[in-house]
Amino acid sequence: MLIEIRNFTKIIKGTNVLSEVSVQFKGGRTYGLEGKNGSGKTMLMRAISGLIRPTMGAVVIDGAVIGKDISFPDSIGLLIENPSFISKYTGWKNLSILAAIQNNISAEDVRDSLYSVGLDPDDKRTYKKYSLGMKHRLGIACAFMENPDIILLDEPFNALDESGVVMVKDLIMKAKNRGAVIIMACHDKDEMTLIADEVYSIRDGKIDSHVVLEKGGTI
Amino acid sequence: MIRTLQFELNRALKNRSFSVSLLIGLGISISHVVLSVIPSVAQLDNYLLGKGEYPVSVFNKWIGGEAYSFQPELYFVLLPILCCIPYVDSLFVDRKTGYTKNIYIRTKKGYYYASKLLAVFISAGLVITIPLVLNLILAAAFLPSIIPESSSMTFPLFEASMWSEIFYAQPYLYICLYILVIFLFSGLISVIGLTVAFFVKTRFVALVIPFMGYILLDFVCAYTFLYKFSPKIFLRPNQPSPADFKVIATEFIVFALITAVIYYVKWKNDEAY
Repeated sequence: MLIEIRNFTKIIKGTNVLSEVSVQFKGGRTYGLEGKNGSGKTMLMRAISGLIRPTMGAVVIDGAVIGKDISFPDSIGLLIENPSFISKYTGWKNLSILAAIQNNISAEDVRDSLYSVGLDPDDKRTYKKYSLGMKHRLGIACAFMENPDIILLDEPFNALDESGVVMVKDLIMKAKNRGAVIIMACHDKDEMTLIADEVYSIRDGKIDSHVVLEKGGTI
Repeated sequence: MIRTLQFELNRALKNRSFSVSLLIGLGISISHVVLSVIPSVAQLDNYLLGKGEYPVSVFNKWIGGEAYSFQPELYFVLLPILCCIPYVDSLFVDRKTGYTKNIYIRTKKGYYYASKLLAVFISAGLVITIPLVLNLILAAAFLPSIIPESSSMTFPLFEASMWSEIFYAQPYLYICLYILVIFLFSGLISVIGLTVAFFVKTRFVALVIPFMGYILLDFVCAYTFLYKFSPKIFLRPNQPSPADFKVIATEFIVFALITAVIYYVKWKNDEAY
């Protein structure tokens, strides 16, 4: 798995939100994105996922250009900004109906995904009655449940308690070990340096620095 | 595509808004049976006693056949609201909450938008036609289905009315065809609302604009005496003003094409922030 971002520029209403970004992400590695609010971290994730189209440049996934050869990456899980689900459905039903679209995992896999983030698949509460932390856990479960090749996580530890953080780290490690690319934006530098193999610093929509962490990937 | 359509249809037909809209429609439909159809059964006595009066029948008493009672008027005025309530605002909500992201990464974007359009269309058609069909069945349970006779002057259609020859020969076929027309226009009105959702900032506006357009068009048609162009008039099976199939078909095609082009351009260029 190779994600290549080639001179990606995005201009929205006259503002350069991303400026000539060129970077590569490889399978089996975890990447951290750091930068101030509004620096372009989330926008870069949107670009990788195909949710926004470039004003110039391209995102290429294993040789396929997004927006030209493919609309979106074939196998991707994401949690960008707040999780969003149907409020009147339970967590299990929300994941089940989304899983049914691609139909490549079983009902048991959906249950396991919920267990993996500490949620009970038999919980009858609807999504709107979930606490903030539970909503976030459901968003994490949704991002990981189909074992995607690319996982994008925007502030994955937000609203999580200590046990939740441990669970997410465990999921990230498992995904990395099976060869997925994990890209995460995180304000907590300590957490990020513990998990990430490489860290990109983004400033004003540009890659400001790139650090390869020698002991990256150990938790 | 099939799985995405199933997903959207499931959401469209199994939601509270669909039930609310259907209940309102059924309420109007059943109240019409109670207040207008059942009392008219007594009028059959004169016919049964051989007094020679042409009997009241299903075809001039069901909600689509009766001209001068409150419920049919109310039903066909509220039609654009009832058909938009079930699912028209779903695209607005999906985009606003970011739910579209969950869908986009699991299916083709075009599949999602095509499925959304079909689900909105079908839910609107069903929510409008189910109460009409129920009313017809209940009316047929109380009143005879005697083949209408134009000479009796008790039926709403004139010779110039659209499909009058079908009505006076095979009235149930006429009603089926008319219900199909109502289904198609209800679907179209809801799809117009769906497309409006791309441009507005509140879901309420997406629900109200089709209704306002429907009333405005009726007002303009009444003002210019071009009644046959008003959906509020030509969608009523009793044809308060004789309908013209060419006008109905042209209006449907023109509005459908304009809506389809705008819808396509908007979803094609849509980005999820």
